[in-house]
Amino acid sequence: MSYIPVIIDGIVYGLQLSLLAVGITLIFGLGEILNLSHGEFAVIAGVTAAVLNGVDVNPFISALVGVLLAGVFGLIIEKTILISAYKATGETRILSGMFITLGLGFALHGYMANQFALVSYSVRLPIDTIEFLGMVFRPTNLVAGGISAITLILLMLLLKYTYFGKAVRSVVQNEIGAQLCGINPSRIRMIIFFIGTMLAGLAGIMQGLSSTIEPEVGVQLTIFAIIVSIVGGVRSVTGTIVAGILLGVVYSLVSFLIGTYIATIFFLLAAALTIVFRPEGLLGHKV
Amino acid sequence: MDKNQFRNDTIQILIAVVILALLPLLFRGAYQLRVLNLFLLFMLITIGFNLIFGHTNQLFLCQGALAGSSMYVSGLLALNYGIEPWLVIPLGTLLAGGLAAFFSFIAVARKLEAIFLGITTLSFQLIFQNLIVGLRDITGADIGFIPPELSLGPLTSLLGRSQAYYYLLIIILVVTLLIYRSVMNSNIGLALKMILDDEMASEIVGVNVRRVKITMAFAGAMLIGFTGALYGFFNAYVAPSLYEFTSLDIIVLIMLIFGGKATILGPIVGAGVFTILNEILRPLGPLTVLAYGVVLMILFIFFREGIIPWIKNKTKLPLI
Repeated sequence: MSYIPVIIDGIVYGLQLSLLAVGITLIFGLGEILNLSHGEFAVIAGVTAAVLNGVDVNPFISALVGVLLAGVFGLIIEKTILISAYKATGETRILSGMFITLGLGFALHGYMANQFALVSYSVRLPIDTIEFLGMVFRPTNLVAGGISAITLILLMLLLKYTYFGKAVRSVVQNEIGAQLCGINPSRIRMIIFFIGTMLAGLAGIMQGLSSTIEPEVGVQLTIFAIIVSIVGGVRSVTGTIVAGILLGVVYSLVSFLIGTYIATIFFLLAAALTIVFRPEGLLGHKV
Repeated sequence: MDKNQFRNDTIQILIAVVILALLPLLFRGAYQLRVLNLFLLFMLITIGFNLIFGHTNQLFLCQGALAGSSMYVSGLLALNYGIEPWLVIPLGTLLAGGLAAFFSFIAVARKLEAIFLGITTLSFQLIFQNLIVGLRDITGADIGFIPPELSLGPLTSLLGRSQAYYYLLIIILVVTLLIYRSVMNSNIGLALKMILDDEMASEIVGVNVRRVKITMAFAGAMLIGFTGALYGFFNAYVAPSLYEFTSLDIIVLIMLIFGGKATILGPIVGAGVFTILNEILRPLGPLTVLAYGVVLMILFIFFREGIIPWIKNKTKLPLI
């Protein structure tokens, strides 16, 4: 019975990773930029929200400010330093996109780790723990899981049923074909970068809500999110969400039963093995 | 084989080596000698990385893990079983080479794009880092271990420890560069140039791209592994922080990109500039990471070609 809270923790963690990973999946699918600074956006939003929350700002408003800050910052990045990567084509674009965002990630990491060193931040909701069937749940954890799940469902609906979603999928499938239909790929890319970094910000805030967020955690978040994105298939949003929940649960269980470092190694092996044996990801090519 | 090209290469390599060999006469302090040794160690690792990434476009992001696994295997064998270090360093070197050849084999067999090979090898780097910390009883985790002293024969009594290491590294560099030059002026060199231009076309005219790539990964990683082991023995204290992604991989990557991929002089110049910069930035503490991030961004936004190809284009000098 004691496994159930661990599994629930795993699902919540998995949903947060999915929030991060769908951003990576969408940004890579649209512009072939593997955003290696993605986790830092989560840290920016999480720390901002927690700091605001710490000076008695309403948790909802703090979260909103955090998410918007991450999104706007993402937009600025997309329109400035990533332009030179977009100008290149093929392998050069992929490599420069990867290394520019890696540099950005390091710069943000160095700044955050220096400015807010060795402090754990959290966002607090004014509710107590609840007991259900003799087990104690942290409701903030459930709230975080709920918000993440609803956001992911909304995102999938957006991609599936709106004109914008169709435009996004068409650019992922065939950029020139989409252009011929009157879709402006660079505009779509910009909006998706905005949404993707906001989702990352939301993931950071959810982490601050369910446990704590440390400024140093950005690199790990980035790596885990990339792994989730790869295991789910770098061009499939549904696959990414499934992979996130699956890996989150397994990570929690392995951490609980054996230890964190084995769980981390398991995570990394999952990525390497997926790349080698099933490069299209869990669910194959689907957007 | 082009005789003029061969002579040109030899002259430039000689000039570079003579300058490097004279440096300890100018900088005699203990700290300065330590920095000079780090300069050569990183230069050799960058040359190894250049063989893999520069010449065959295989993005390996696990230089630290290759260097580190070589050091941990040879250092721990020497420490725990009292084996002469010079006998176990080749084992570590072969291990590094074998691992890289294995990754390269998977990449060519599964036709992985550069980015996926990058993530696979990055996973390996992080697995290595986690294992070192996790296998606390064997590796000493963050505390590390002190390897036995590597005997450098008469060099030590003649020059002192730091200078002995420095000239040992110079000898390794000379041997490496001479082999490197001969290979670049042979058929394999031609094949390497073709692969950089167009992989498919070289395959069509009969270059065994698969074999060339795996061989280069093996050779480059052997150099990285060998140097990585010397790095640990020179440092006289082995901890995971020596071989972490942020303390080795990124710096080597920056050195290569700044110097110029697929050039012989590039890694030498790149290692020189960034060893000095590294020492200037050291007092900044955690902000060093920020500085390296900014450098990496600037390099990839404005200066993708590297300094040696850039000078070559501007001045029409036949730099190698």
